Amino acid sequence: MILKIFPSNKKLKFIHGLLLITVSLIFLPFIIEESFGRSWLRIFDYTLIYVLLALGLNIVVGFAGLLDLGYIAFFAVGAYSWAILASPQFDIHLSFLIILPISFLTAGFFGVLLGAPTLRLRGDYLAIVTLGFGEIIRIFLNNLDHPVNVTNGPVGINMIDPVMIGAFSFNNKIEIFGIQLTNLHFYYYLLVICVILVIIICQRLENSSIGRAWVAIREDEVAAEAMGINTRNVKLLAFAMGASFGGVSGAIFSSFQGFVSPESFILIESIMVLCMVVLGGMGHIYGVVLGAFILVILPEIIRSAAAPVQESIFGFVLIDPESLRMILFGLALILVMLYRPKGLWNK
Amino acid sequence: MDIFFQQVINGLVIGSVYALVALGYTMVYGILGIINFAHGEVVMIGAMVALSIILFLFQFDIPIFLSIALVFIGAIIFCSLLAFCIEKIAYKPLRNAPRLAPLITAIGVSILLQNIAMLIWGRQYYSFPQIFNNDTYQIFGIANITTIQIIIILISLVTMFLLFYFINKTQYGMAMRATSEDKNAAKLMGIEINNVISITFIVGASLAAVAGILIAANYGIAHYSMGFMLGLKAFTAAVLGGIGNIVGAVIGGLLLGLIESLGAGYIEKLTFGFMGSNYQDVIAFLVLVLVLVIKPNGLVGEKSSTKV
Amino acid sequence: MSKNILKIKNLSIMFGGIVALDDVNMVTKKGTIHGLIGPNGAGKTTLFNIMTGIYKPTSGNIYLNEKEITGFTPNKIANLGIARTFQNIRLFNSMSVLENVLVGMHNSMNVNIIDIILKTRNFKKEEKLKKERAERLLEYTGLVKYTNNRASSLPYGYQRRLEIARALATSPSLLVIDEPAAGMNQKETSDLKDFLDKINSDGTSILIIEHDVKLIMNLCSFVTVLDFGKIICEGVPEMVKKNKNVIEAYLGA
Repeated sequence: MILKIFPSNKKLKFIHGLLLITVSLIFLPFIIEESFGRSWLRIFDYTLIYVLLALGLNIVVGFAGLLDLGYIAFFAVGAYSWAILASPQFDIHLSFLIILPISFLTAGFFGVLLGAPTLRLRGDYLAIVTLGFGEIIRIFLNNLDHPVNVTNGPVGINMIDPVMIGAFSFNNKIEIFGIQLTNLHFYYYLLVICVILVIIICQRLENSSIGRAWVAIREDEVAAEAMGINTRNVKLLAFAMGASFGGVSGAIFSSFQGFVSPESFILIESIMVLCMVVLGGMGHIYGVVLGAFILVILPEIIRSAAAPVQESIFGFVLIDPESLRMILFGLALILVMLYRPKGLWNK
Repeated sequence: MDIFFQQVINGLVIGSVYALVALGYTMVYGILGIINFAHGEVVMIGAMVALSIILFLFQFDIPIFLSIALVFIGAIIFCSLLAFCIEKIAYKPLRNAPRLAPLITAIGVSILLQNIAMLIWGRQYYSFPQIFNNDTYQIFGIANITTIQIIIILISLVTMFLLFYFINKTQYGMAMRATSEDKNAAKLMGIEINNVISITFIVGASLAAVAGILIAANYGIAHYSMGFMLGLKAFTAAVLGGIGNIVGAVIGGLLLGLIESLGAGYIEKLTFGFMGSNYQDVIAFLVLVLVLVIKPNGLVGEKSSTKV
Repeated sequence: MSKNILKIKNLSIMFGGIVALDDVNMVTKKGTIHGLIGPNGAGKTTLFNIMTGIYKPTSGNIYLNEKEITGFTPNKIANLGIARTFQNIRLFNSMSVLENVLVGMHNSMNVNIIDIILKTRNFKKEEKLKKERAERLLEYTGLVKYTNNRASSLPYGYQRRLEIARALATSPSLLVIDEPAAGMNQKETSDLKDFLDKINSDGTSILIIEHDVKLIMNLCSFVTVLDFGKIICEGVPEMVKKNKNVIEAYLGA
């Protein structure tokens, strides 16, 4: 009886840990802002958006083993869904509670549309087809400004509505106890909540019959089918779910940035997200989160340090920051694959 | 009908170039089972190196044919060395790694090459010098063809013929075919796999160099980002014909060129003005999706008797 | 009079120009262990592959419990009651022994995606039931001590057992096994025979491809012999063993 009154040691530790993490997460944006400046809080927010993308792609590539090189297309679909439904483009201004599900479903729909005819293709073929699809979406987004102006072409759509809760807009600035809260903070909290939700969903999927079916298909599709798994539907589910998460991420991105253009959805972005998944160890949820952090923050550090460091060593800038960033990124990809082909953090 | 034959000519020209590049992709895939993402950049390097050689040789008074020969030879040697190094450094260590690893590495190499090229040659669009007079000829009064286009088709044909001869009639070619059928069996037969693989990359790079020069000559432009789309489409062509299949690569390349050219010519009419030639790049991918859905192993298929 | 669990009627399949199976007629009686033997290349595995939906026959029909299953997809056939093992073991190598068996139970799970995402009581109940059933199956097949080990780490003989356990997890009425004794020594083969006898007496019909003549003689009540895609002999083991055509086929007289 006494055992029932006092929680066990393990449970206590768990609750302590949870409290610690929660408190840290609540105060984190302020710590970042104080220590590194507002621009790094913005970068952190973008990182969280990429984390969502990486988690989504992880379902497709990591869990189910389907090679998708055009994932950014779903991000684009979600982003433009928001941009079209909450901006001056058509003068529609729907609430985020409506648009988020719409982005989710629209992106999922495109996932099914792409997946249905192509998922039976062999791995490398699937890769090139999905890559093609990503490019097709980008080209359409770039050109759908005539005959009917849907996407506003290469210029993109701007003045996109931020998230609004009632009359309160995320773009408002408020002050509590002398601390300024801006849209960077509000989006931070929204994104952290989304990331946590997505992680929980992914974990639950992983430890279910669907998760096992995905791994089975990834390992040996013939054997999986012989065990009664409807591989076509199960693969389609992975594809659609990944797409849907990408769509939601895109919608939040759209409202956060305030404008979208096809430039944000080029092939290198799909590749970047894929690298986050591979780097983190495919299928490994926390590894993928880490992968996203590394691949967003490290290049930003390089970009901000490139010029000053070169100035102090050479007296002038030898290689411009953007090129240096890309060159180091290329090198990093090669080196990591040579030395840790299973990802930085493998099981 | 008025533009039909013209677009056919244009399509065959660009298709020949696609075929040359597609061959590189397909040979590497046939032997190693990997997509050499960096191949498109090797094409670009071929064009840029050729450009530099031409600009260098302009300073001297050299007979035209010698210049052309030097340009081709120079570009081919440079690209071959480059591909050789890439294979040894980035791909060889990963021969037994999980499938995705060489793909990511290839992407890394591709990014590296593109950015280094940008650093060396800058971001500007260079005009590829005309080495000889580019006349236009009329064919039966229904289409035009320029000197450059004739040269492209001729050089492509010669190159492909040389390749087929090499693959089918020489020891090395046979070793390549054996290796792509069954690496382990080839090893057991005493074939030195590493050499075969290196040769495959060198041959592919040589084709790429030639293709780079031809396409730069065709459009008159060389630019550090010219390899990307071309590589993508050439790979699409290789898959179209059946990846790993040499004949497939040629057929895929020519076919893709034709479809793209005809498509670009007629797309406005076909879509009632909704889509114009700015959607041209979409055609390649749409064709690919359609073909793969109907014939999942490509048009000619993967395991054919003339496969490498 | 026992029903036929499997009936194959006039089954033929061609690959390109090669006739791999030529007008095959075969019947497996319910509750029996039926052996399928023949020299290499006779078409035995091809027959299995058609039976389990991996290939579609060029002509002919297949009936499971008197119902037609010709041309059905592999997963549909598995759900109708045929489970199989493969000639070259095809386990899910990165998964544990328990997880491999759980995959076999995929379709008996009564959960949908909402259950999973919301981790409902139904989901938790189902997972618990399935894990318990899987553990019982591991006990039944003698694999308990490997429960949480990676499938690829098992000794060879136990990998074969796991494949069979996984197939049993689908609750089949017919178990189709392809060369289970390959690479086994005498003791292992004897254990395998006892194991298969146990499964059979507990209600599962078995159709087995094997090269180990002794195992076939001891295990099967009926044997079909295939050579060059045609059935050349059928009957009880003792009779088949002495048949002139069978001896010729194997020795190539």
